[in-house]
Amino acid sequence: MQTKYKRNTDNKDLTQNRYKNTDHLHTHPYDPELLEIVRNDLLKPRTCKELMDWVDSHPHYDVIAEASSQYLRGTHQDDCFWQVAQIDTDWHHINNIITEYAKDNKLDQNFKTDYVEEWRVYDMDEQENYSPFRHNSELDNQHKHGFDKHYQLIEVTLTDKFPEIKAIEKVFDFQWAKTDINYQPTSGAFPRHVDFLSTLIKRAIEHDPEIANAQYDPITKGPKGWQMKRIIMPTESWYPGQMFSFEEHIWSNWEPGQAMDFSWQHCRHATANSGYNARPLIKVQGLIRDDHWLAKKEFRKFTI
Amino acid sequence: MKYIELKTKLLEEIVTLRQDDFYLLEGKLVFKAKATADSVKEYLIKKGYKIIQTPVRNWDHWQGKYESILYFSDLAKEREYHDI
Repeated sequence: MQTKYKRNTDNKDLTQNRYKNTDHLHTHPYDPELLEIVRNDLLKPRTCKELMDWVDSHPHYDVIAEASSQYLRGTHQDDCFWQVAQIDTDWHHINNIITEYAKDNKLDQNFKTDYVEEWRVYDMDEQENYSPFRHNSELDNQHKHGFDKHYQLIEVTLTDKFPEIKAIEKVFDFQWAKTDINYQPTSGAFPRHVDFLSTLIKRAIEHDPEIANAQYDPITKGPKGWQMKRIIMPTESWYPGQMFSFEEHIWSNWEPGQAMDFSWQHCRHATANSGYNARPLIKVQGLIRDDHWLAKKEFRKFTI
Repeated sequence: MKYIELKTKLLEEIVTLRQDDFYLLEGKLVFKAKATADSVKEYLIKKGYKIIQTPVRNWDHWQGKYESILYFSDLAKEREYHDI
């Protein structure tokens, strides 16, 4: 039976009251001085576990992701997003099964992003305790600006569905691999943001003391000695009106199987679907060591 | 190049510059005083960078006031950076 994950907001720090009253949210563009204070605080030495505790209890949580960006305007496009692999497989079939899943679960008709009725569609009980991947105050801030339809996140790794996509996940040879389908129906818009990959790192911290106790690197935004990767790849050709921006650079005219890496740590990125076709995108994330082919910026081709 | 590298280098090289003379906002350097922005711009241009300078829109919800913004127009790829 299809159910939806409901966040447990009771165990969150409500002292700043941003969950109940959006008047307490920080306002964009954020105060430059406050950003600098939080950015400098983030640079202090902490283990990964200490860092995530710091994030979760921070009184200015909603500015942390923004403050964590060290991006300088004018950075070359190749340092913002780049293709790391080409994956040749039956993309027509994969796209069909995603489309069928979307129809069965009414992802286009019931398209609204909130945290009371979580939009993460899942099928397995083990997701019930899965770490929430976006903090409520960040969602509050996005809603405040009218962004209430982002995308639908379809689970892959933790379900028995999509074996074809799990095969794609395996080529990246990630530790703590986690794959989702980022399915953006028409009219969806996800405002510009910087990633923290907190779901990935929280999961690793929870299960692996080596990562929990590793020093956090505030520039790579992951455990020292590791790199956290988030690879995105479309399953269908780009349609006019579909938008994906990385700071001042635009990714467009994509084709299925283009596996793209990007500076999720620092580049503000945003998506919107102003076309007339849903935009499915596979998102594979995980941890690698420095000798991994992705860390060495090698380009690879795979046929599945 | 990341903001922390740039700021560290600028503070080392421009002796009159102070930590709280400028901050980072959405990829741009926002300065409290235009004269300071002018001197940093002059330094970066001498180093070969193309710099754009604009006035600042000061928002009511900000604590401080700012006079000038600087940002790079086209940084080279990471592997091609020269020293600032």
